[in-house]
Amino acid sequence: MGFLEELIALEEVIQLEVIEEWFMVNEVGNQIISLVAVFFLLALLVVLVAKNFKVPIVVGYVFLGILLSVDLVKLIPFLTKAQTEWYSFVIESLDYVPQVALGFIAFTIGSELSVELFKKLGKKIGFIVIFEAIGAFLLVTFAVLAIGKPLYLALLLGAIASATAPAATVMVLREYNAKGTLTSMVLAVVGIDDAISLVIFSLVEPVALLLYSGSGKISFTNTLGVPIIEIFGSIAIGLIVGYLSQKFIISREDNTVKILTIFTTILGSSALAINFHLSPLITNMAVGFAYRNFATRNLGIEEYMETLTTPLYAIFFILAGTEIRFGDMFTHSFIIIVIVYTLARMAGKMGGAFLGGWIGQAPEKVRKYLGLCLFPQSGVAIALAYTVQKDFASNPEVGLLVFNTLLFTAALTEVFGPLATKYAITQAGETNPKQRNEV
Amino acid sequence: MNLEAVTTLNDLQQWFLLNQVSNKELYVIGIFIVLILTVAVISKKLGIPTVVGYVFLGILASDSVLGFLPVLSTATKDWYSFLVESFGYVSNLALAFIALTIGTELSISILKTLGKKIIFIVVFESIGAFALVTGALLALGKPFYLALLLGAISSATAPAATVMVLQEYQAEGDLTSTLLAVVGIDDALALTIFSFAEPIALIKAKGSGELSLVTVIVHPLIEVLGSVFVGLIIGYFSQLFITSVEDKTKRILALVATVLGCSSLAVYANLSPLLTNMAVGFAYTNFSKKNLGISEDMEVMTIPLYAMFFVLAGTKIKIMQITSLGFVVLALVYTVARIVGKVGGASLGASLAKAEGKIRKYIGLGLLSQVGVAIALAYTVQRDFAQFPELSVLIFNILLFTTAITEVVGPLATKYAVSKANEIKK
Repeated sequence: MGFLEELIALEEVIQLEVIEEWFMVNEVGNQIISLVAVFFLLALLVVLVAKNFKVPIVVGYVFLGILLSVDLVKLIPFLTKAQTEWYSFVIESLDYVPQVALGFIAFTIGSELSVELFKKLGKKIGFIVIFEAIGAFLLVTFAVLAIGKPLYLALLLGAIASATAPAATVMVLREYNAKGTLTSMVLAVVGIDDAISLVIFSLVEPVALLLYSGSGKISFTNTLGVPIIEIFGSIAIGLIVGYLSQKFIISREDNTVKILTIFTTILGSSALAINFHLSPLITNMAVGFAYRNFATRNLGIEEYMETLTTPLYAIFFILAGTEIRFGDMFTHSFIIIVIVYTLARMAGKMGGAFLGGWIGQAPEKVRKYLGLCLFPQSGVAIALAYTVQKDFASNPEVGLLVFNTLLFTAALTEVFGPLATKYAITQAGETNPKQRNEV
Repeated sequence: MNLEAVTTLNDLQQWFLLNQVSNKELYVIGIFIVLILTVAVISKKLGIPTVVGYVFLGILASDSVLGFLPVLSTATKDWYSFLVESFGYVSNLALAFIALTIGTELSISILKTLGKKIIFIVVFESIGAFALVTGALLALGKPFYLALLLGAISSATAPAATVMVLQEYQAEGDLTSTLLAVVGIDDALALTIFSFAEPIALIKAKGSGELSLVTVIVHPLIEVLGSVFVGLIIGYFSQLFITSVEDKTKRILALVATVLGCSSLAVYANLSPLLTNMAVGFAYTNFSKKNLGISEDMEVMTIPLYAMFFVLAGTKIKIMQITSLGFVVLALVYTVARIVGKVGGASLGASLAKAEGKIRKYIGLGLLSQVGVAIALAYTVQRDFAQFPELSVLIFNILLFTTAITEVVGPLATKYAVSKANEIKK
């Protein structure tokens, strides 16, 4: 019936042409615009409401996204099946927007990290990152084991639990114009965290696979080599691109060229990283770091960045919310796993950050509050869950369970994570109202 | 839509995921943006408008040119043309912002002082192009309906490239104001001419049917007036909101929501998205009590958007399709007749309205570009003349041919005009 069944059999070449024409006939372009228009309108409303209730804007965006998720939209009675299918298709086709936004977010993080910061606080940051990542890993693994799940599943979920999504946290810090020791350390920790969790995951996943299949052997050059190449390759490329790009920007006066250069640098780095199987996040962080630390004078790009990223981040967080799936929510065991996973991860993050801060002799407010800023979890964790799904292709249930757990908790942590972050920086007295006009 | 589409969509989505379409999209954007930057730097260095560079880049990046690269496999090329096509909505987005920009440039006080001249110029340049192109094609021995259709399409002017050149060189003065008003209003008139001419051509081509007052006059009138009306109302409320908030996030979101919202509303209500957003811009400039403070933000956001827009417009130009001699003659006649009609009509209108010398002399040069609206009209032809497929292919090819020329020559001519008139401030 559908032309696609016929298509699959045909050559790829012909498929593409047919789809292209079909896009035109169905005016997919117009549908995308309409959807984006509705999203922005709702985003605006959400910002108004969020400001009114003094909640971070991110919370509003993600919450809006959850309400707009396909599973919930399907429940609206007056929409036909065809309409909801279209809806999910159009949302899916905006997939590359998060990639672009993530590049900008990573860049922002990098540009907040200075060499002096690492000189002064490097040891403390190091301790905290290692302890919070391993803390979450261990606690989640044991907790999942404790509720009687198999070891390989516990290991997988534990490894994924160690990842933290920087985006929502960075957004909150910016919104409240936070400044201070806690803020600087949070930025550094969420930035570096990804590298550590990548290492943990790469070490643990083959073990889980081995436990599960009961055969095969682990080669440590493979398991350790790949993530290390990924991390250092990303850093190297990011630093080089960033260095050249900031040199170029400094030499230019013209707005058009400056703005295009920023775009080129961030998008180019993302594309380059993806192409070489590196981490776009780490690469763009390194770019931002290069901008901050190599530039001999102010680049004058902050204003532009703010204007450019406002609509981009709105769409990013809304789409992040729409990723949630309610499909499995109503089975008893799924809910238990989700609750155990979330609580154990939070406890691990907070406890680990506290312990690391204590060993590294960080100030009290850092010890007490830093863990609270590490709850959000999306991007990287979901990417890791994809990997699980791919590697456990022989048993799709495992992959699906991990994936669903992640999708469900990611959206939730992006709602209450920012609230916790706001609480932390407010308690630590690091929020500053903006002088010119409050953001 | 039926159930067939449903299964299709599901499968399509899967297939997209499988083929990592989003990564591929990112690559294409990444490569484009690198080239865009290069082109922008080169254009600045050579002192030519960046639009020219972008369109030129687009032509080089069109599948018909890339098709000649031996290193690319057929699959790669097809992926490429698919991905470029899937960015279609970026063009709509950019066009909406361009329309808004034009609208914001039209202030009531300018219209009061220049009103009569503007009307004269618009009417004469549109009808001049329409009459000359129709006449010239008839003289070539082409059928009446083809001449009529092409004549109607030729009356449209693409505001985008002209506006961008004026912005780039920060042009200011009577010529600039008149030019902006003319390219803005031109669309409305071209739409009207087309709406009148198309039913007639359709009947001539089919050799049957009758003209009704409703299709020829009422529909176009509703479209034009409806768009202006909707745009003014939305623009009024949007500017009230923007002036009442201090916060940058809210302002930017309100702006983007307004522009996109108007576009999609217009599309669904069968109105013109261009006219609607122009009316919004007009409302912004003329109803607000204080400065909205959005021009900075607009500039920053539209720089990457416009760059993508013009490159994508360039990729539409299939230079390699120019094959037969007959076609080249036809396309050349069209292009030349249109330019003569535009320039002559504009000058005639300007002198009848007793405009200043510099307006009389140079205004026609700012009206050469033709892409957005004309292509939209060509799509309409394709839809309405479905039983004459060769006709719409021919019209498309002629438009693309002339676009290739005018999008490169047009901005250069505009720059020449404003610099001769001494209205360049930068």
